[in-house]
Amino acid sequence: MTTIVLKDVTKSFKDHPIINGVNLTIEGNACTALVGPSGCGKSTLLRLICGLEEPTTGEIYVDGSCVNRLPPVARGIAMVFQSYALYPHMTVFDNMAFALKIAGCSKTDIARRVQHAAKTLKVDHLLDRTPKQLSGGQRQRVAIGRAIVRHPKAFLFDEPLSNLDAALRLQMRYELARLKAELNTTMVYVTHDQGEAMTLADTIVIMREGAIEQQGTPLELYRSPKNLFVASFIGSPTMNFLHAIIVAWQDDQHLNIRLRSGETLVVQVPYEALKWKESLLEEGSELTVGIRPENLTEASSRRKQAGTHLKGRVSLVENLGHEAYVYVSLPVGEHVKVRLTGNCNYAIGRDISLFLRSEDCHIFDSNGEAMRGLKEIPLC
Amino acid sequence: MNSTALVLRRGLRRLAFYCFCVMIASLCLFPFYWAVVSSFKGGTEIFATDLIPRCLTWQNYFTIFQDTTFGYAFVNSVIVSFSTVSIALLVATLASFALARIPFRGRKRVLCAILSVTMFPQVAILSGMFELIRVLDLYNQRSALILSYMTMTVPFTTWTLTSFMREVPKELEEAAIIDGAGSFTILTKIFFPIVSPALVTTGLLAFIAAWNEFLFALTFTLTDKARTVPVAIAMLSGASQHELPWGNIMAASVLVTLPLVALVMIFQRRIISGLTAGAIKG
Ligand SMILES: Nc1ncnc2c1ncn2[C@@H]1O[C@H](COP(=O)(O)OP(=O)(O)OP(=O)(O)O)[C@@H](O)[C@H]1O
Ligand SMILES: [Mg+2]
Repeated sequence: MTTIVLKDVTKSFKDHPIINGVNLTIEGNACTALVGPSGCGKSTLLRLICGLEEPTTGEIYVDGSCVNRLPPVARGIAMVFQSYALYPHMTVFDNMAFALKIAGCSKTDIARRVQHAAKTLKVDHLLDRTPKQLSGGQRQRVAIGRAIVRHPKAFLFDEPLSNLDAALRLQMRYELARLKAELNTTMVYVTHDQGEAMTLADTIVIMREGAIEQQGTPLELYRSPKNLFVASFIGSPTMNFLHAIIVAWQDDQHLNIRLRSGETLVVQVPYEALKWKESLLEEGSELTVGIRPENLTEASSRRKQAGTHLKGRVSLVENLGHEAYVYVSLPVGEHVKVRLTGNCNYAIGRDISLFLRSEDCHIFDSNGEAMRGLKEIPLC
Repeated sequence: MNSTALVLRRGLRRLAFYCFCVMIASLCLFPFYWAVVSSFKGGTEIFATDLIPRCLTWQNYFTIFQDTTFGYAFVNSVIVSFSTVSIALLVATLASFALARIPFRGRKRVLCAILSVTMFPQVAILSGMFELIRVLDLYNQRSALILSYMTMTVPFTTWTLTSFMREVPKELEEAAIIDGAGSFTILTKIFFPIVSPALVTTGLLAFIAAWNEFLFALTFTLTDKARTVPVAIAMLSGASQHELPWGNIMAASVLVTLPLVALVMIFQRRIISGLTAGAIKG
């Protein structure tokens, strides 16, 4: 049960600020995923935690004690590198035993622990091979095994699956989930793949330009993204964004807005909570409406549904068999993606009418901030 | 009809190619062939210009071994070369690890200095070196040669090893740091094995350089006590003052090349093997 706390951590490389004041609590016995665009400082943050880099300012606490001055090995944190970083001249056994040998464990102890880790990772038949005789997935397992044998307080994974092909990645993702349940330790997991983050993580931390944008459970982030950036990052395919303007406040809970295509809809927005940025709430102010592809449906021609209809033309279809992603261009020059299931025969150029419910819409003000707080959306 | 012409043309072209190869090879190999063949020629036969000798004899080789000078020189050469290479590799490994991996001020300048030192011609440092050796009282001793060979081999091996050490992925070092290894363990357990093929190659080159070195060996030695093979060969004299014993010289030259050939044979497997296969990615 190891909790890692980062307090006002910053990191600069030669006056280039890379990490800008990160405050983060990584809960024990849970998996925290760090996601964000390339170059936002995810790897740097991991390296700060495990001690390969020193923070410029701020403190890092492991289990309540400050580890800023401790060398990596004394922090008891293991890291699995994206590139595996196996020692090429050593056998799998020696690779896994290296840390234990340095720590001065007895021979029998080392053999027992390596065997155990190898069994857990199903590489016990490969112990005599060298890394170059292994497949990518096997190398990945050995790299994880090297971390496991030390019984570390926490594991840091830096994009562990990004070198694997799609099928293997899914399999390893499943095995990591199994491992996570088995080891029951603190894990920090950096990934580009939001699917990995959604499935493996208990908490997702979204980073941008060295700062944390939002932190929450996968469902929280999916349901209530704090801003446009988070909204566009979580979910696959990504959320659709439509321009809109404020028509009028119906009351202090409901807002009348008009899409560019002319449709109007009424969305629930708590006026009181947003009062402090009044200027953005005036009539005529710009808004962005976000709607996920899976929340759009094709309007039924027979049954009249209450809500907003978007009319457009099919411009591209990605048919996956059980579902199809249909790209629809709206007459005003905007595009939306729709996930449609069932009869997936959509001819390009065909007119289509889409139905959206105002409850499913995410509303962002002109600064890109979400206009509903986390609590407004029920989690069920 | 057409196809036979095609086959014929292709055959001709291949023939021309092989002729070309043979020509180049013979041009390159002729001096070596001539040395070997001459070493087996006796008496006046050596001045004959036939490409293929009429009769061969071991006489030259017997003569060399009857003369104790050559045996001495051989032992000297072995001691000097091996010491030079071992000390140079030890120094170079430590230095190149620091130069490649430990950031410190002036690292680039040190590297540049090392590179420029390797460019100096030997003659330029000859007199300075001589003074140094006189001051250290090493004249006509093997250690004088070892010391002076160090000035050529250490910069060269350091420079080459530094570029090999740089190639070792940073993640390996970091993985070792996380595993708890200190700088010295990282060097001996990670870097040393990984760059060992490079170590063998540079070591071999340094050995050849030291083994064949002539100028320093001639200048810093006086007697058979410290003389190495190249000098000893040059000093071989014939029956009269005006006779150069070409046969003996050739035989000695061939003999001293054999250790080099043997070393290359022994180590060639290590030279070829890859540096970091399997360390990262595919
Ligand atoms: N040692 C260093 N010296 C200077 N700049 C660095 C150093 N390490 C990282 N950076 C810079 O810090 C920024 C963040 O790098 P980092 O590796 O943390 O990104 P990342 O989020 O892991 O990206 P990716 O997803 O591509 O791995 C980059 O702009 C990078 O250029
Ligand atoms: Mg990274």
